[in-house]
Amino acid sequence: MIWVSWRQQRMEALLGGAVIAALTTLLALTGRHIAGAYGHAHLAGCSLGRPQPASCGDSVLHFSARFSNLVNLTNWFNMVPLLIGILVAAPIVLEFEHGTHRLVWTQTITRRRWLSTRLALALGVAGAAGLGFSLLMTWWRGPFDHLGGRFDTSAFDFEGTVPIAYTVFAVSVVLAVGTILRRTLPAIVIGLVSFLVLRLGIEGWVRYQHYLAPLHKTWPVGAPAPAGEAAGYINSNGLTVTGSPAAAKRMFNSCRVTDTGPRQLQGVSGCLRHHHVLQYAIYQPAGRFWTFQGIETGIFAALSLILLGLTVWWVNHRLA
Amino acid sequence: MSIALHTAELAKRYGSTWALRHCSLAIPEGRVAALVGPNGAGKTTLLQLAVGISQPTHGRVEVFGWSPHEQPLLVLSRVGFVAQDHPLYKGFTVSEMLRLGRKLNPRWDDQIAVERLDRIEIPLSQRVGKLSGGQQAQVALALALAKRPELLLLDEPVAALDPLARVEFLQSLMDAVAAGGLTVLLSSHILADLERVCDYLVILSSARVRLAGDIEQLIAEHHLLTGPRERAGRMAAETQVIQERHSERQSTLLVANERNVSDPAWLVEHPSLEEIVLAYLGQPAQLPSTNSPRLEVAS
Repeated sequence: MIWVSWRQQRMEALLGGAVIAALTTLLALTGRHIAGAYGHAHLAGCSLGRPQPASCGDSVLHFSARFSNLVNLTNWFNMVPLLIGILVAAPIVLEFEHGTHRLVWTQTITRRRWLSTRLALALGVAGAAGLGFSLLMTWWRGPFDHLGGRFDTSAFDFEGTVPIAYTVFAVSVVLAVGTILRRTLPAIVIGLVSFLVLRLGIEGWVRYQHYLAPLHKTWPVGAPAPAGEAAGYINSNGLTVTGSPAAAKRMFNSCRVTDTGPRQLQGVSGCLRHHHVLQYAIYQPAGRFWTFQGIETGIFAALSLILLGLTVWWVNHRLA
Repeated sequence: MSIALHTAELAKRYGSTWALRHCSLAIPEGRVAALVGPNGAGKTTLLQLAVGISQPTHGRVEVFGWSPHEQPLLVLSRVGFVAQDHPLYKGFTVSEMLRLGRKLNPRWDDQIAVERLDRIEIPLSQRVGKLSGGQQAQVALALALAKRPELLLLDEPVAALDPLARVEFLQSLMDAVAAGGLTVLLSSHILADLERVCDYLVILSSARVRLAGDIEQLIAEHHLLTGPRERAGRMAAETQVIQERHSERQSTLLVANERNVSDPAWLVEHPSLEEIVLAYLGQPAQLPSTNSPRLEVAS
């Protein structure tokens, strides 16, 4: 059964292997380069949320600007779990589309054994690929995470346990839709759309807003930010001013405020403090990273479980 | 005589439609049985129930005394099954298909498949997708036979084949039957192909069994009466008429259960198998029609 499974999805396995190899090579080469530049710029002491040497500011900006294109490019890697999921699930759906399940199920093998072998292999491969992807990205993003935290989408989506859950979910959704429709292409399209809608929906409107209530803190201008703010996920931040907008504008002009970034505020903080202006932030502190990873992994794992349950039921009761 | 395939009040429903109802059959061992009926009559459903691909809504099906649902491995190891359109992995080579059979069947006999394929000159190294439809059907049959089945179920095995491939396929099947120890049930909506190879007939129509039995016996039990039209009514009242056809002056009745027809005005013959099947399916037989369509030429 193992040989049959392997032979039947050899093409997809080779394709997936090629994609993973290309990705690994790309990440290994650029990752080494990034780590080298990071060491060379002596940025190890510049991590957020700790007292920083004066030299840090410009070096961090320079380092971030240098690799910003590369980091932006990794946005596309959000498709990697989906791609792996499709490559793993499609060969099973193809069986139903081509009717070859009737060939296999009438050899001396029970449907239960066929299904459990196929599912175990599919989920095993998907899980391992997701884990490998997560480890590779965590290593690659090491320097950026050290400087900027890992709670932002550009890190959170690729690290910890969520890539595994995304991959398993992608397999489950394509498999469930494909088992019911017995058509591979529609299953891939519907799977792709549901995956993107769910991922983007949760990321944009649920994760940072509702997993846990965000903290709402204020502190005097120029004073150190509360722990975990800078390396956490900032929903919004800025200055709180009492009084009418016109009065606030006059006050900002008199204090010569040009921007509310932390660096610009440093020179005028005395003036702002004098006017009782406070800094505020609504944020998810960095310490909640693993809690949020757990919640998001749980959501996608639960959805996968439902879809896989539906697949198993459908195969056992509705497919002939 | 022991029974290869036995069904009792077997029924299968898909949604609100009955695909098969009140199906009670007993196909004796060693027979080559034709399962005949129009498309949608329930032929595929019956075969899939017999091999355990689908489960009955009601009733029982037993293969050599075992339920395909409750003891799948006992049934599967004894049954060769070729599904409609003989599904195969198109990307596999023929020898990889045989390897699949070897891996998944404890009773597998590679030699059976290799010899068959060699005899009909199908190279083992060829990719299945590159073979002709007839050759693919032959590979599917070879796979089913290499399981060393005691019951072979074939769903529309020749429907998609051209006439030559049809003859070759049925020849292969006859060779396998001649080797002995094999019961065959094959479905078809084309009767002509089956007449030469089958000795048992099951007629399915609208999800029900219309007729089942040994073909020679069925022919012996049915009569084709041809006589004057004005006496057809009286004749029909005295016999069990399956089908009646009338022309201007003459009537033809196909009747079951022979009775002595004393009226010398009636010509008594035994019907052909095709006439019996068509009568039970309620379709008009293709007789030379008196008002055949003429080609009209516009002046």
